[in-house]
Amino acid sequence: MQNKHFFIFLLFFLIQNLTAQKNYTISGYVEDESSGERLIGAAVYDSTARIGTVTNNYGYFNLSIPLKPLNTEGVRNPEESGTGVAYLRISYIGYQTERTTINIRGDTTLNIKLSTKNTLQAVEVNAQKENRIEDRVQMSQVTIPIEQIKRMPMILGEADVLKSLQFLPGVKAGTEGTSGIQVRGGSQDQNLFLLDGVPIYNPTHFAGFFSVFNADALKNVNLIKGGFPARFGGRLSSVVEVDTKDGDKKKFHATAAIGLLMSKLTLEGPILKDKISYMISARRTYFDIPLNGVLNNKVTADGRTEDNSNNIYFYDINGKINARINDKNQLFLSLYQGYDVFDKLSIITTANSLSRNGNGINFQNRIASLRWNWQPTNRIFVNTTAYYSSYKLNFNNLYEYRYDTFRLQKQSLNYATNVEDWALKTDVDYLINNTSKLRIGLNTINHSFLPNEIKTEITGQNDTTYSNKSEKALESDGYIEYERVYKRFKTNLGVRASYFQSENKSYFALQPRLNLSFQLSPNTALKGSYAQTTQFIHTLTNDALGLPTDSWIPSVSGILPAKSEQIALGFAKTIQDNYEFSVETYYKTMNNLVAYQEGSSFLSPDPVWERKVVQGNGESYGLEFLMQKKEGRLSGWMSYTLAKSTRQFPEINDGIAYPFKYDRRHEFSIVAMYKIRPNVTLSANWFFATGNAITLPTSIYNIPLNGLPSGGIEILRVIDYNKRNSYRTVPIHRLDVGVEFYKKRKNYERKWHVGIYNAYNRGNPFFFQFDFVPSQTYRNVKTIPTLEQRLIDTYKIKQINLIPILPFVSFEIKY
Amino acid sequence: MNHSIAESKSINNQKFKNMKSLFRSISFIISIFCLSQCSFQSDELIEIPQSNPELAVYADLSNDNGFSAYVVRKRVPNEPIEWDVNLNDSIVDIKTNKAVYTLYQSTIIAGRAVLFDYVKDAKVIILEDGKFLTELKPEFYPLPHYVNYDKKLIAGKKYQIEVTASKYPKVTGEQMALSDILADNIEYRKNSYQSRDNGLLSELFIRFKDPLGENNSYLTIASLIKTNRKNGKIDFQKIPLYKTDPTSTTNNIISDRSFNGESYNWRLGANIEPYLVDTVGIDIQLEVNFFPINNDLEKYFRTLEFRDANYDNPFTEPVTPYYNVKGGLGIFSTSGKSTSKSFIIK
Repeated sequence: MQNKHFFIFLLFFLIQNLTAQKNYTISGYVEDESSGERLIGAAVYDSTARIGTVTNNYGYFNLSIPLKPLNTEGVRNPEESGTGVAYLRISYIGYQTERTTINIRGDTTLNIKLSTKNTLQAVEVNAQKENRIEDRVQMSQVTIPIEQIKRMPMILGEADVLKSLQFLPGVKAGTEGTSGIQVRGGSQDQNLFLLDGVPIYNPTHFAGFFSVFNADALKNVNLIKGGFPARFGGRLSSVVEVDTKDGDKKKFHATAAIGLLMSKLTLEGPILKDKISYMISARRTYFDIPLNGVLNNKVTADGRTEDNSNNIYFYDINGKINARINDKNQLFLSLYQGYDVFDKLSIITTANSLSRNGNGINFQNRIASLRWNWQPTNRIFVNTTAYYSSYKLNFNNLYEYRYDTFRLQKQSLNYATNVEDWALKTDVDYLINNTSKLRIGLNTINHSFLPNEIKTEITGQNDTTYSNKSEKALESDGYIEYERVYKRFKTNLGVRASYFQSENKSYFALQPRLNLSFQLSPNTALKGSYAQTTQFIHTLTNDALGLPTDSWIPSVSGILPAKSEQIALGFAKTIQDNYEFSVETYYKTMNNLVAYQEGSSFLSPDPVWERKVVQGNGESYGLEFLMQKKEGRLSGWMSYTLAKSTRQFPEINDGIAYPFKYDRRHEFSIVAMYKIRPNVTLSANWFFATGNAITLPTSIYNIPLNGLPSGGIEILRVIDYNKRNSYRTVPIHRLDVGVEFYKKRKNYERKWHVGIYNAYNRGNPFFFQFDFVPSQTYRNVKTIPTLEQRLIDTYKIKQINLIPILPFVSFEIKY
Repeated sequence: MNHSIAESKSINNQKFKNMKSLFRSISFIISIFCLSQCSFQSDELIEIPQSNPELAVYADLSNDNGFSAYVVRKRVPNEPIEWDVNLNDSIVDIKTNKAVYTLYQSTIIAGRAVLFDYVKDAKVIILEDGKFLTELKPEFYPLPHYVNYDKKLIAGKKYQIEVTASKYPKVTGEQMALSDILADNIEYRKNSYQSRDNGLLSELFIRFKDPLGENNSYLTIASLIKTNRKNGKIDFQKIPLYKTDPTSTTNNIISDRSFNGESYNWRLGANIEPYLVDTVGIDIQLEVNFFPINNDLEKYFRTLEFRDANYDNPFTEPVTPYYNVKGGLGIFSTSGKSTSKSFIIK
């Protein structure tokens, strides 16, 4: 009933506005003057009519200007019609503001070129005055300039989009040092990561230490934490939009970066000048070289040879070609492949025996998309995308012992999971008039899942394959989104309808969305939002570590789609033209979340994967503060979050609600960059958070496994755990510092980036280990020990801190 | 030497450039040095809050093996462990000619076992349909526990356990007695299937009818009984069984979840070949025991098996064992009459 009223309300507004008067339309693209790279989120503002817009993800804008031509004195005269002048101001972070006057005799198309500015000199004068935080109807949205992301000191000096987001309010980092993000109490699978508009299923490399987004290939990062516009769907908690560069349309560039353990190469340039360009960016780690070349290599002693190989690396490659067919049509072909390898194998050979002991995790993401931009009129922008996205994971473990040529013992286990999507979607933006905009879209995704396949081969047992059942599902969505400005009041209303058909069950969901903004003064606004979201595909993941063992599963019979409702209120203000300040509070409920049943993990050999799954609910609420300065000599941000997040599953923790693992009551962070000279930038991040909520052993007891009449008593040491996530780890804090030296020569530019991650060597917990700790030798005691002497050993819980103070250096050269 | 202002500026600029270059080099070298000195892992022991004292109980009421209950206390991490000394296994140090005692952490060495944290003053009472039935008496072989071999279970009646000990909260549990479910047939097939790597292996096939409506599980235990022909000495050796039936939840337990009320032929792998070496002058029998058990016991063993499988596994949340007692830890179960069958191996 609630949804029905909302829909009628939306239709009323649409009908009212479709009958509105016709205006002039100015449309076109905003691009970088030197490279032709189109700019996302650039503000275009007509200072006379006092209306503006921002460029979309393709750098496109259209602006409807009222039909009020000028008279001979340059004053608009409502009596005359047919001609007019628009005074446009176009601004974008890091670029000189462009002012242009256009004589309008009808709908007009123009491409605007912006040039970069010298930040040290011009920033105060040219600070962006449009599309500021109080101007945007969308709340809970943060963008970080790519240049800031690149300058932030990170592990091994590798710029990392997701780790940068972890410093924002409402975004919680996963395990120390890893790239996982949890947004407003949601789990990691509730984030929609879009790389050039295509969902990417595992956004991390190397057990979560690095994100898949290569900063050298990117031009825009946008995070939405709540109040999701209707065009986004499929996940409960956040949208992370990442767009890659189109490639320089004017001249060839090569950028190479060499780090201690990773190198990168980016090539971009025109194929046909100003028409077709390409960008290709690749990186690879070389952890495997020192590991195999220096450490743990072949050891020979007493006729015994031990050969340890460690094949540990990842690579990824981004490629993009874009072609401007004509003024109204443009094509983009984007490709991404990332591959992670962790293979460890030890081979011990003697004169007549051989043993092999190894394990490995390999996983890969693949994305391919073809996008077509079409502007049939100046008011309509259509984007159609066909894409493929897949994620595949394989985990294996092997022990084998051979004597002569006869295999005496073998244990092997292979775990595989994958998800594959083929999809088609169309989004249409229609500019109704100078105050209204309409967006509609349709998409359909054909999902294929292999949720959980386990193959075992153990000496003495049959070779067994568990749960190799693949699943298919079709997901279809349609949305309508309407944006309206009423003087100081702005709104974005929308509704998204989703239908999901798995092999044995279908689900339908209608999800209303609402964003409101009321401008209190030129620099301040009050905002509010409401969003219902539905997620039909879930990950079964372990909360223990952010390791890449996620199994994507569909909603099937008995496993319901996850649903969320979020309401948020906020206050936004721009201070002194440069500082964006916001306070937001939110309340979010999440239903039908999935988790592994207690006692199950991705390796549990259950023949029916659905039996490993339990469903429950979650709740989170919080208060977030953010002060952000995006450009200038000093830039960065400061944030504070006060939040609480819980989970409740009937089958977990005796059905009692328990804290979400990343339920951190307080989080505070500062990210600062300061240009001490035009070519030297200092940067520092500091982060403080309440410790994670974890489950720890609280007691041990020894009990017979079974009392058998025919002997064979076994005593089992049973470790008992307290309530789920009832233990708080120590607070997490860390300081990272860095300095970037930049030099521009005639033919090339070079950058040194040196710094220290975890500068004061804080021991932040990575994981906990329950261990038996012998304090003295307990064999061959010469005399019967006294009672005091018998107190010799203990069980201990160790906190393992994996990442100590870690300096880094990297060198980048660009031709 | 005198310099013009311009020359001085030029020299100063050059000095500044040199210093910058030097600074960069030093930074780079220090970075490499620090990196090489870094330890990639550090450990620290953590304190966890003390928990209240509690008893852990493993109690099984069986018509075959009698009523038995093991009662121990739980201990908390960081609490010192008391080692027992097995005097029977003392050996002589050849240098000093004095006895040397061996302390055991593990519990099965040379056929003897040590049960840590045995609670000596526990009182274990069994009730039948809410009325006192019996108090279990302490027994110390092969491990200290509480037993009663006289009482029998009556199918359909409710049994309760109450365990009390000074300084500990009372532990209670409740179970229904199971019907007697006998196996229709137990078959041993030597070398019945071809393993890919180890040639022919043996199997057990157990056919039984699961009663409709009851939620049961079934446990199978196999042992080799080795009898020395000369001196008549008998040695028992438990044989590991393996899960070859995909519906089994643990290696030797199966739940009736997938065949409730139906006849079922349970298949288990029994790799006895490695236990048949050095058997000159010894007769060998394989004894198979099959009995119905409560689903609670199946859940307990299943969670413990998962716990073992996931021990030190960073990919999973810790596994909490399944308990069905109140006021403490552990499991209270009933088991039905067993079906035994012996096969002459040699």
